[in-house]
Amino acid sequence: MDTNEAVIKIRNLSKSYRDFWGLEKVQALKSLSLDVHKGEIFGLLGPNGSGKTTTMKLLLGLLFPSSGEVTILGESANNVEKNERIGYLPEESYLYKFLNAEETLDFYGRLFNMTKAERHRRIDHYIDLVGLNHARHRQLKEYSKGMTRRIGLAQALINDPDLVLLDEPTTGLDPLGTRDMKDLILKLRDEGKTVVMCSHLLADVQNVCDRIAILYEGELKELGRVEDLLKEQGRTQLMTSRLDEAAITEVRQVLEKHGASVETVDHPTSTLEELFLKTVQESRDRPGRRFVPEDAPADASEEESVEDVGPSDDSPADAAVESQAASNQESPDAD
Amino acid sequence: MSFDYEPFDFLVEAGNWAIRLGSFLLLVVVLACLLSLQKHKTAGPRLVFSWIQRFLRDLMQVSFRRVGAIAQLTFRESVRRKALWVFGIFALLFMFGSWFLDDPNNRVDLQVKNYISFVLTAITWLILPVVILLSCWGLPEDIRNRSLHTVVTKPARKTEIVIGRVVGFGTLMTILVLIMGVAGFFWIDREVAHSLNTFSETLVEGGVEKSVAMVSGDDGVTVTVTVDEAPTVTTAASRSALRQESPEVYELAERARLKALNRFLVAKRPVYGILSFKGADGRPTEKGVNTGDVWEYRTYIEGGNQWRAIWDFENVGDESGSDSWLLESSFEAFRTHKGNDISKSLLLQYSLTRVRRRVFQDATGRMISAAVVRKAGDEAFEAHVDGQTVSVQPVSVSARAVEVRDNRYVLVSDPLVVVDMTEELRVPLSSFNISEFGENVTALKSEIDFYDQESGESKKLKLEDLINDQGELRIEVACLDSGQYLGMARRDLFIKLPSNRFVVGYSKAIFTVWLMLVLVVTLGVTSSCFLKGPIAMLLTFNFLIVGQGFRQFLEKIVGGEVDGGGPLESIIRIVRQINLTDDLPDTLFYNAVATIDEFLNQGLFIVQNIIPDFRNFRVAPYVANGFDVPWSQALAPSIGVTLAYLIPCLIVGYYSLSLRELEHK
Ligand SMILES: Nc1ncnc2c1ncn2[C@@H]1O[C@H](COP(=O)(O)OP(=O)(O)OP(=O)(O)O)[C@@H](O)[C@H]1O
Ligand SMILES: [Mg+2]
Repeated sequence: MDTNEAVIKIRNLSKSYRDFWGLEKVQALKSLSLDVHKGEIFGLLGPNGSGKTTTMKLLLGLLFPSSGEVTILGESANNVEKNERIGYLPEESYLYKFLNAEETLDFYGRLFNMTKAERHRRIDHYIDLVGLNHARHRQLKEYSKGMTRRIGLAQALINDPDLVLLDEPTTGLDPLGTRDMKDLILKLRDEGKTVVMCSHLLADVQNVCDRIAILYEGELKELGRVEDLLKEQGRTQLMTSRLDEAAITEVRQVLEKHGASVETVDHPTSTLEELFLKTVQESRDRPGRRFVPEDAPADASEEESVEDVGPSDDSPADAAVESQAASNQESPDAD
Repeated sequence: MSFDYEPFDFLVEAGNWAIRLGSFLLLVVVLACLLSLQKHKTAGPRLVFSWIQRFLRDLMQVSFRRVGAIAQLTFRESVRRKALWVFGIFALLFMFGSWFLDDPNNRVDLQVKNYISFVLTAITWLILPVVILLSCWGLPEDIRNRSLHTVVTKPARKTEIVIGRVVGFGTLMTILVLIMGVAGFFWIDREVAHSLNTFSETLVEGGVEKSVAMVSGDDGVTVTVTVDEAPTVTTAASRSALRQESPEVYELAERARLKALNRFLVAKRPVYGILSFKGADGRPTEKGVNTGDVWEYRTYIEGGNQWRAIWDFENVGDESGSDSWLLESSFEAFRTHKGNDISKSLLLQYSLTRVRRRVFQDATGRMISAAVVRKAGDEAFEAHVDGQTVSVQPVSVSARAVEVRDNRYVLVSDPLVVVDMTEELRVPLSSFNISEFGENVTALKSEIDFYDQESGESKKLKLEDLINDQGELRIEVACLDSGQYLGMARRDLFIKLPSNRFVVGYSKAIFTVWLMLVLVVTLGVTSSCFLKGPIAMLLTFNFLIVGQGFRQFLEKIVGGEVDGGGPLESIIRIVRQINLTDDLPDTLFYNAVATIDEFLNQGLFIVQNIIPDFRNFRVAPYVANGFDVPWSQALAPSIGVTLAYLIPCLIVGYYSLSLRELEHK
């Protein structure tokens, strides 16, 4: 897996939504910098309104950046030709309700450069893949939410894209559909494609994504490989088969002998969720702190709140910031 | 409605259009550069040019497949939005329309006029709202529910989106126009045939001339067939009874009805000429004699001497092979000796002539007056100009470029240049008595027999030999009775080319309606690229209304023909109650007002040039009055107007979609 080739490069990207008079309404994205590498599954996380969808739209040229730059597949975001190799599943399936499944895929397929036979082959293939064979002649306005989601996914894949952007791909899907979606995303990676997705289902993200970024109020709070981020340097977690009370007391004693204390004895949690909640909580408590990848150019001058690399506690997030800021080596996730 | 020949040269018009569009675009680019300089500093102009480049690239890369996909989507969307309901209204209108359209006096010609106007108006005004509604709502809806997001994130160019939308709505509109047009045609045909209850017509069948007259009313049908002056009368209680009782008579009557029908449903093609005169001394003059009429619509030529009225007909060359030209005239007589002579008729004579109009040009291209040109050999000419002798070349000019001034033919563009007018061929036709209160109709065959006065022999000549290389024919009218005066106006003599079938004129009218709707669709889609549905509709509708008549008013304001000065000045005049004819004081304030007005006028000038002239599409009167739709006066300008707006609209639409975020706000 060639992980070093950046498929998406985002540099100091900011976006303010303005009203009719050009007055700023919301600053949805603040000086975001990150890279997505070829062949990886990249997860964008963050609470509602943190700027995930905005980022995707900026990548696709649907929105124009207020400042900063975006390179996607080596092209600028408003170059149409790049779209030949991109698939996009919007947050909600914005499709033409008066078309049926087949007509929908035929329409989108015709926007790409492929033969008629190839188009028909793919239409059959993808309708089958998303499990809509039984409803292929029904108009989309009759579809349920999950069905619309499925046909939306099919239209995103119709051109066999190299880069797939999925905005909350699993919302509305039944458990089976969610599972299929995860399998599909993994399959796409195995085929050498790059996937960028945002999702609120952290368990899924944890299983699927290679790397994640966590946004909070338009700022990048975390970025890195999922395993690395979840590895809590200052702590050790032991996982055993079920122990009885006596055994636990014994273990406690051993630990105390080595100067360690038992903080919790618990069943392992979905730790990405923990990380997420912690990041959000910290961001709330300490606004202004921001994650900056080492290869991003400094733009300290024009922002009112810059990265705060203050006295660190042992939180992994800060550790990451420090290691990034201190060394000029490759980022830990780059290998 | 005008039959006055106005040359419409697509090349010239396209040139003018290109100059206007070019300078307008240049202005926009310069403005954009200035604005971008201010915003992006020195990188600005480069940005502007990259946008221009991008447009050109997107234009080059337009793919029929993608345009087709978007057009089909648009079409499906419209159909599934139940746009075709309009057919229902159409059908209803036509089922009951004839109730309201019947002429109370039962005059078939007025009836026909009503029917045709009704059909063309109904088609236009039924489709227009549908088309405006659809084309103005399509894109904004697409942006509002963000379905456009899934399109623009595919390799669909913005050019293709605009073109695809126009093509899609255009296709739907075309189908509506076609179906309604065909249905309308048969409806007219049926209704007119239906209202033609009383007629008389002569049929020639199998070498036998039969005159068939039919009178039908509430009390039954009477058909009189006259062969060799022997009438046979057949009566029946009704037409269906006639059909049952004497099918042969019925069939004959129906054939006669059809022929009568074709007299009402025709596409006549009159050609009007340019009128000038020759005076008693044989020299050209602009006007004839004034017999003391205050209202000088007609001027007069005197009989029995050299006075001639001259008509120059342009653009008749292509038609000269045809065998049935008619010369129709209606002149007014003014008699100097009344009394006994009142019953005496007036003798009139036409002469067909071929004239050659030439001016001369020196080596530098300067026009040289024919008055100073001498022949210097077989085909060589020289002129004495500014004390020098230069050789000059003859150049043909058209009748339109020449006028009479001071008893000479001169160039309209430069009255100092005298035109060499040579009569190359002259064919006097036989003289005839004019009918004073009706029309004189003279048939012109493609081969003309005439008496050549010089040789004293009868000769034959082809009509086409009388038409000069500019496609023009000159007809001179002489009054042969001395002491009498004949009054002439330009419209009093015209050539009637062989009529086309009604379906030809009707199709042209439908085609013009279609052209107008293409323009409306284009304007609608374009305005919907930057406005929301209702506002886009308002704008398109305004274009339509303003383009009909308000344009004339703008032309006047911009042309300075309206008293009271520009917009600001007139407001000040109203507020301060200054008389329209008073001059304003020459103060700094009023000078500033004049300057601002100058700017505003420039703005109005731009507005005036932006709004398409919808008057060009008004061709229904031609067809309704039994005329063909003329090419250069009506058809060509409408094609021109529609074509002229396609590219600018594409540019506006493209940038409206490209330079803004397609996000509903
Ligand atoms: N069209 C818009 N006009 C104005 N503000 C907008 C617009 N779209 C988004 N925003 C604002 O931008 C911010 C980021 O929105 P965005 O849609 O990117 O969030 P998100 O991370 O995708 O949230 P969610 O998880 O709910 O999908 C929010 O504060 C939102 O209110
Ligand atoms: Mg979102």
